[in-house]
Amino acid sequence: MLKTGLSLLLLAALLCACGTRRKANEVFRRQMSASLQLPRQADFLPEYTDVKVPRRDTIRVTDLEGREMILMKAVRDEQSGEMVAAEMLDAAMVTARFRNIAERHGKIDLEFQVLVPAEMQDSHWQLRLHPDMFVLEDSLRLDDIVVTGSEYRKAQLRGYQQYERFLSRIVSDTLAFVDMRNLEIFIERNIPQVYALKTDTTFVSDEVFESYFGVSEQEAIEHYTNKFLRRRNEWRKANRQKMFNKYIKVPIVTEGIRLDTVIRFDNGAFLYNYVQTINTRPRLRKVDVVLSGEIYERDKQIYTVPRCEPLTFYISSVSAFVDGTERYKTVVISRNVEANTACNIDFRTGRHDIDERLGDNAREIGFIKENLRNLLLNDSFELDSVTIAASASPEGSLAANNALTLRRSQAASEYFEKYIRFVRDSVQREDGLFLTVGDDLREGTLHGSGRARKEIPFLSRPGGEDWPKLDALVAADTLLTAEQKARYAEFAALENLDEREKRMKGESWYRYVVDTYYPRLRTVRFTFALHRKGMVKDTVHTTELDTVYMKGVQAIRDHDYTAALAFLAPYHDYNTAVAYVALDRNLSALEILEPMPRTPQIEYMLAILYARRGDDQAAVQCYLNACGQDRSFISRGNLDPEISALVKRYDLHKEPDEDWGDLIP
Amino acid sequence: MQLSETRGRTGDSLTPVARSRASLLALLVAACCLVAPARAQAIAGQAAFDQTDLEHRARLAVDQNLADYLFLGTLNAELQYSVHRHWTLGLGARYNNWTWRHRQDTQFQSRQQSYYVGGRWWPWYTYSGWWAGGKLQYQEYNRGGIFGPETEEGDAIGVSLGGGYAVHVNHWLNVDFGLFGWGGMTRYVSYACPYCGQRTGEGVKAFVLPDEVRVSLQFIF
Repeated sequence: MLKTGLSLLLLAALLCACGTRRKANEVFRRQMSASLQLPRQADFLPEYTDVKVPRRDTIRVTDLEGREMILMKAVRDEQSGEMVAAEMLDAAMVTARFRNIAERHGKIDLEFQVLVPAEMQDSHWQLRLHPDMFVLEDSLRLDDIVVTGSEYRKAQLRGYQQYERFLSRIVSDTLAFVDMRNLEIFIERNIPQVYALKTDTTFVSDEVFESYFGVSEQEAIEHYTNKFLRRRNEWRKANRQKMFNKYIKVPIVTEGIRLDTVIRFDNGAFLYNYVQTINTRPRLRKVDVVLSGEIYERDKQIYTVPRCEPLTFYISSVSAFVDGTERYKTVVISRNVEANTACNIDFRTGRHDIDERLGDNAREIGFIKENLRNLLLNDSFELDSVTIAASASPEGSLAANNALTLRRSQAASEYFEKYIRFVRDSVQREDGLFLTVGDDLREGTLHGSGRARKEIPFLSRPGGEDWPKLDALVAADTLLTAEQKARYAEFAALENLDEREKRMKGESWYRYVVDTYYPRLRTVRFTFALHRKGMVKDTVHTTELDTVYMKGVQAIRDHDYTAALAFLAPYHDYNTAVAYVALDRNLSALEILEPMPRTPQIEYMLAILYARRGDDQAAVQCYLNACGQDRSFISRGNLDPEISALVKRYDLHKEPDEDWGDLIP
Repeated sequence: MQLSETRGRTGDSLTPVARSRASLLALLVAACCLVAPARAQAIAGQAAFDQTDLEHRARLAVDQNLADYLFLGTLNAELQYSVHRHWTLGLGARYNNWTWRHRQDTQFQSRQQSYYVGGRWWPWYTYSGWWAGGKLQYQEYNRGGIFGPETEEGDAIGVSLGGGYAVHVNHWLNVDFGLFGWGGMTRYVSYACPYCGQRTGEGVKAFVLPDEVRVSLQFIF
């Protein structure tokens, strides 16, 4: 009985193996392949209708010359010879190898179906299919599709179970190998000090306590550890990967896989709807998708699935409608320009001579010198004059401070005039002399380069006490209280500045203000009067490229419509409308486009917008107008699903080259 | 007459001497058994430990071999003292003065008084785990009727070697398993049966014999 059972089992296994082998041979002989196909158009077309409106069977449009036409689906009756309305049913299967799809919001949804024939499926096999996408010059492998036979998956899971069992035997707690009972008795017997701390959480180094014969707790733990079990556990830990490879010949992969499905019953061909969303990029017009793969039995590849015919997606984008014409803006340029700068040149108390070694003067003076030199040698501007006004802190009388600041301004003027002369000399030495000779070579004149030759007048002004700056500094202070600031404001109302300073001296915060802000009032202010070289008129109106607008245009070209709108929204023009159309903001786009003069591009975009709103009549009218003005829009209509649907619904160009002649002048 | 003399030697000669010694030994064993748990309990409850206590901690052990008791009621006791992490020194005695089925044809006995001194080597630590031991032993014996009627009595001296394993029960008690075999010289008289008094031989001879099976309660102080 047992023998019979075993024989039957063996026979069944042999038959099964033979069946799988025969199937593999057949797949190999016929060079079978999985294929890609397009889903039904009806499933694919996006629905743009914001408000559901009933579709019309018949619409009435007028051509550019005002002739009225009726558009409807019609066939010629064979008996009467008249055209009669007809409704065509969609085909159940689409066999086309290409599809037109629209880019929206900078993204494209590629939707296709992966078809695996029943002959390529077996319970002992695993099919690994790799869709590859070709975009411009790049190729990109999309996530795999894996079709796994039930027996194949069982074998995988069996391996995982074995590995799980192996892992479960790995002990992470090393104390598990310690004979705790004997250890505890040993410690209690021989190292009672440690045992007494058993329930005490205080950390005590085990080296502190030893048995009478010098054995520590650590030695005891080591002794009562089962070395064999520990070594075996270490071996298991070290050999995890090896055992994984041993038990799991083919791991169940989850990364980079779109679908891993297990086929449990023979249900015929396998069909999977694959949707891949990609970001658009400039110049993207076409995407090809192909499929390749392998068949595995256990851990061995038994067949390479040949690459199937490519499926092509033609991408339509409203970015093609962008108007790249450069946009300029008007700018008013004045001949005379004024530049200001201030520096903190320190003066000794009551003195007006400039000491480069005092405080931070060297750095401050260096900064002014650099400014002066740059202005003097500037190619665009000519330096006309420099006005210097030194200001003082309120200490002392107003009259004395005014006199002092005038002297300091004069000292600064003299100092920097010297510097200007030095620059002029050094520039002339640097440029050298030019000899200009007449045509007859008899006369010649010697002259310099002309750079920095002009005398620059320095004007000195008394800056006086800089109360306005002190007011601003106190107002911005964060340490003075509101009451103190209010008190300061009270004194600010006094017209007599000497009296004001005198009153302030009695306040508790006076020393703080003197120490913190007074030094910042002792400044020297430079005002540079300049004019543009070669400019005669006081003002000139000129145009320059509107870089913000052009950034918006570039963003549309780069399919970054959100960024484009950020640049273009204030302009409210044609390109703004293009960005709105791309972002599906249809009302905003209509608001801009409807009042505009109707170019073919505008007509076409209006057709898209009306189609999205479900206004077929207006959409067809605009589309025909666009095609009438520019015949390239006939083929463009096939690329946009909104227009393509219109064309199909109303049979607008059944035979494009022949029938459009009636509609388009 | 000769027969009666012989009978007297085989059946009674040890009895008067051994009885008094047996009483002493029994008292010693009883005292040890009482003292051991009492001391151990006191230590278990002690939380704070004095370092000087370590010197006397777990160094003395008293053994009571249950296997000897089961073997015709041989009284026994052994004292061991650890002198090193791996070494204990000990001394012990066994006493059996019982004659079973006395004066019957099936009489049997293994009467003895044995005294020994020796030591044990503990590979890990004294009173824990494996051990090997040896001892110098004197034995006065009279045994016969157990495996056959042949009976021998005499005085033996020799060296006993053995080994075993001490299993922890708690911090004051072990169960000590072991086997000893010994060899040496004996001055003996052999008889045809335990009771008949018929001499079959006498003299001095060398011997190698099993000495002891230990299933012992080892009280540790």
